[in-house]
Amino acid sequence: MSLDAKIVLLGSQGVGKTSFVVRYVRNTFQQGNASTIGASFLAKKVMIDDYVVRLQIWDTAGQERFRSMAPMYYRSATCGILCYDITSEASFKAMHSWLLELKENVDSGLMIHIVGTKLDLVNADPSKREVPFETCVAYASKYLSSGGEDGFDGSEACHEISAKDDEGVEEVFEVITRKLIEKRRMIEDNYQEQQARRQTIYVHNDEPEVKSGCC
Amino acid sequence: MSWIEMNPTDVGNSIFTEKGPLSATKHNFKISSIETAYRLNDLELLQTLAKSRKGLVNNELRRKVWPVLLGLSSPDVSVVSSKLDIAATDLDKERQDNVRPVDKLDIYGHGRGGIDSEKDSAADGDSEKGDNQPDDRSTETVSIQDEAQSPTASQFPSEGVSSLSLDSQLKSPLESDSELVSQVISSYSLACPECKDKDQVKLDVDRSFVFYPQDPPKELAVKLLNVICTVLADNPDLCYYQGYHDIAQVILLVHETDLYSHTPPDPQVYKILEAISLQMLRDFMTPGLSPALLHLDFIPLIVTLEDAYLGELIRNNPPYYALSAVLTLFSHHVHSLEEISVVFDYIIASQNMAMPIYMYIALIISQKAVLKKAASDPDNIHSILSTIADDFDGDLFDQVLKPASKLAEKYPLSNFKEQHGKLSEYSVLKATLRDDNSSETVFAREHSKSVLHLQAEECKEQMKLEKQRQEVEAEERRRAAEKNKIVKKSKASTRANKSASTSALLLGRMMVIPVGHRKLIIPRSLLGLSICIGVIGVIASGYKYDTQFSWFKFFTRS
Repeated sequence: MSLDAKIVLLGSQGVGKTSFVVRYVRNTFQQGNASTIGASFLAKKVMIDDYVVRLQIWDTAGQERFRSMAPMYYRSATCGILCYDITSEASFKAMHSWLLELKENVDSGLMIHIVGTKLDLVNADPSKREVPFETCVAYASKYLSSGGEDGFDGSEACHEISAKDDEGVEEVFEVITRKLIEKRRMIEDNYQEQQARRQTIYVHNDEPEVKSGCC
Repeated sequence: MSWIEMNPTDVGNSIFTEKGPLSATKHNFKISSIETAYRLNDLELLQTLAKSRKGLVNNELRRKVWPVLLGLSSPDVSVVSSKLDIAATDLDKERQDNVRPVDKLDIYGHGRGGIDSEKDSAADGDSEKGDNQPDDRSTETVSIQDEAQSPTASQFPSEGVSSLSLDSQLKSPLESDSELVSQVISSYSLACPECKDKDQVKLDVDRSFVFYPQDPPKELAVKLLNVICTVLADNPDLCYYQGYHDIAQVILLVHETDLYSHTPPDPQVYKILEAISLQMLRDFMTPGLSPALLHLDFIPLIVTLEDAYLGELIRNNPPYYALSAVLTLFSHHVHSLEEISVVFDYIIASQNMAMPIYMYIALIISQKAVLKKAASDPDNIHSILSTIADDFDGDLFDQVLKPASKLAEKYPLSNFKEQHGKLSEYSVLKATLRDDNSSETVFAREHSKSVLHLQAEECKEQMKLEKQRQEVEAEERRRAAEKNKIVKKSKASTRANKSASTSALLLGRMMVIPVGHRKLIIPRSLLGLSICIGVIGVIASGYKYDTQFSWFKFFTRS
């Protein structure tokens, strides 16, 4: 079975969105990636269970000026990855406006994950960290929870990665892909269930007609 | 000298646009042609030569000819554009003053002379302060580079201070020379206050020189930052966009004779970048993005006319795929300085800012086979269109530049009335440099300066309207959502009613009759029957009202 998924990366400029995607798709890292203008596109096929998943990853530009283009990329997306730099609190705060924008413009079906970048900097010098992981988890459980009854505690949507040291990059996309497959399965199950239900309803529908004829 | 008697345009066309690379003889001939045309100040011939294979051939010629093509160094221009020239001579003077070894780094910090003189006096009077200032600047250099030590940084003793921002460095001389310095500070922070351009420029400059030159020296980034900030500060209406640094980078490199020198960039770099910004890029440098997007909308229109099949293929993809190529005049995608310089020669010489659009269209047409292969998968089409400029490895001149000119002749933008009408009156697509008439060139230059502010204001106004429109839309959406909720609720309640009535039906049309505190549920048919009996009873009792059981007698009478 095959599955197409459109993933869009959003976040402030210079947090390392391109490095993150390039590490995942091409498994390379370059210290100074050229800035992204508008948006750039990368695709990767992955096999998980019986599914061939084609990930279309849209890497957007961080500059505020290109923000007006973003809806075109996130509107039809299945997953949004919000990126911030764990050594910059400002980038974490800036992420909030992206989240609000997504909530405003996209229906609740959009999956949202939060990725903190540049973990290598903190590994080398812990004092550089400006955003503790707990802050991110608390944030996620506050803003990403769908209602609380599904046992969502925020941590499953939060990741910290280093594109430079290739740490945690693969995992982010694996988690997302697995979730997408799960979602697809649920939709399929639902569909089958619905088909079955439709048949029973059809039987019910017959009855009044017979009765009315009788009266 | 028979070649001089030929029509110069024909020479350029016939010899330098043939297929294949230029031979050594042609190469040399081209150089001498360009030099002759430059000496004769023949703009038309220079344009033709710049638009032929290999463009202006080398950077030395580019440095000479670009100002002519941009209308900067023609004798007529100097009078009209006195303001810019005065500013430029001031800059020159300041930079000449700067060449003293201690001050070499100053230009990287701010590019203005005022501080240098102050710093000298500070260095004379207070040696500690004098030591600290260049040190601050050296750390600025380091912070821009962030990796490794720059050779300039090692000239200064202590490197402890690393968190000083450019502004804070500039504050120290403020004490004695407040006017000049505050001017510098304000001009930096005023570059484009609402988009905090300087921080953005720094970020991008940090990520410049990715493809060329090899092993870029650290000074280059500092020079680039300075060049961009100076132009932005001089023209507060210009807003920086990501990609502008790619263009500035090419201009800087064309003018850098010695990459490792510590001398400030050639003053001409500022003039060229400013002229290109005002005359060619100003639509992209408005406060918002929409004027730039209007450029792109021509792409599908022209592709459809040129090739209906391709037009159909790309119809569903909004032309955002061309954004980075058009915005950076292809400098974001062409990974060789030599090739991108030729592209710049071409665009500058054609004096038509629609050229990048036509170039992109030519690029799409050249990749028809690849697109055709992907025709079955619309998502794939999108990805091919988005990476088309990166993946191109054909001959730029034959497959992109030459066809672009043909397209430009065949489909002038003004043919597309509806789309053309959407352009601002101040758009570069409506008032780019025109043809070979130098007076018109002057007009366009002056024009660009004067319309810049109007264009920015217009864009701001549009953005405001757009924002209002979006707010209204959001409000409508919110209302619709609420309405939806209500409808859903009422639907749910009708559904509940329905199910209730169905159950009533299933119960055999029961009736609920309250009897005291209890409820008596009886079938409705029973009630109907009892009513019938009652009515008959009344009739019967009317028939023989005097008898107590008359209705019984009524039945038994016969």
